[in-house]
Amino acid sequence: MREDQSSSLQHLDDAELVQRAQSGQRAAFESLFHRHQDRVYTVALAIVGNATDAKDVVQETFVRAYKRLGSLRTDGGVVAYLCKTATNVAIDLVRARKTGKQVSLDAMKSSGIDIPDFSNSPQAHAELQVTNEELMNALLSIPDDQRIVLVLHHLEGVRVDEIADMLGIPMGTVKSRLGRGREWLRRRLYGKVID
Amino acid sequence: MKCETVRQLLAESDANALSAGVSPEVAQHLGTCESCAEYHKELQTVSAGLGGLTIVAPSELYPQVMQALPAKPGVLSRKMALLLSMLVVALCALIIEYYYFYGQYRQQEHVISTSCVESMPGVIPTPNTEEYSQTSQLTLEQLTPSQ
Ligand SMILES: [Zn+2]
Repeated sequence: MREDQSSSLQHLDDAELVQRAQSGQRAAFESLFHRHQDRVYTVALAIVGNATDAKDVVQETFVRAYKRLGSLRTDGGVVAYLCKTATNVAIDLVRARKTGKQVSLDAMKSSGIDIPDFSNSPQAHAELQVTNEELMNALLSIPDDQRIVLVLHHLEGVRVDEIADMLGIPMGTVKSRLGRGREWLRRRLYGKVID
Repeated sequence: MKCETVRQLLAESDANALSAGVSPEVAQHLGTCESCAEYHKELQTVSAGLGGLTIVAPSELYPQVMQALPAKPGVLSRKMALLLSMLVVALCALIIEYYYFYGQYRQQEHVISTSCVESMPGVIPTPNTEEYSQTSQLTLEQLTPSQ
């Protein structure tokens, strides 16, 4: 019965699912969750750097969305809303940590932190010839401040001036963090320094 | 243009500029410098790879989130919430205004009565227990005006 309900909801778009969820159909909200959980989890993981915190960020994101369901945008902005919420929650968490340390998977393994499972994730980019695991691992080796800027700009499509507003830093700082972060990634993935 | 300058410009340019097009000066350099052209291509690929980065959420996330959801969703729409908050603000303003002006009115009333007593002692006599006691002892003859 429940599976029938879920499958009947699959063909609905986000706006229709939000409307149904607003009228009390919990299965519609569950469908929204299944549809967008990977995207929200990726953003959360890329910012906080470990699976335990990333799961907490996703949980908080969907709980907030559920509590504000009445005012949730139904004009196709659901993913943007969820990612923005996840980003804010994740950035607050990183700031609260105040360690500024890198969070490479190797470091996490040695300290017993919950390691994200990449086994089902597809190849990141055909031309790059790396898996999502390798790309995320490379991303997690970048210092927090540069990684957050990279995630906001490339994963979420936030403009440079908007990132400056969000983080309360000058645009020049955003650009230099973007430059250093990209250069770090390029060296890590291509394993070379171009002179 | 120096290679170093070109690479810094490329690294710091936004994703759109990186994929859509670079400035004419940079483009001219890329046309002649194989090393910088390769650098540009690698940055474009890294940028595209990041844009498509997808990690599959762990299966335990679903029960974790569903368990954390409140029993009922928040149903207050944005318009309703705005209307409600405006009503609350208006009510607060009314209460503040009432107490402020009522307080001022009471104060003014007090000032007026005090000043009347002080400035017109003949018109409104101050209560004097001695006078009252004398008055109470007056006889009817004393009160009747003499013809
Ligand atoms: Zn060059």
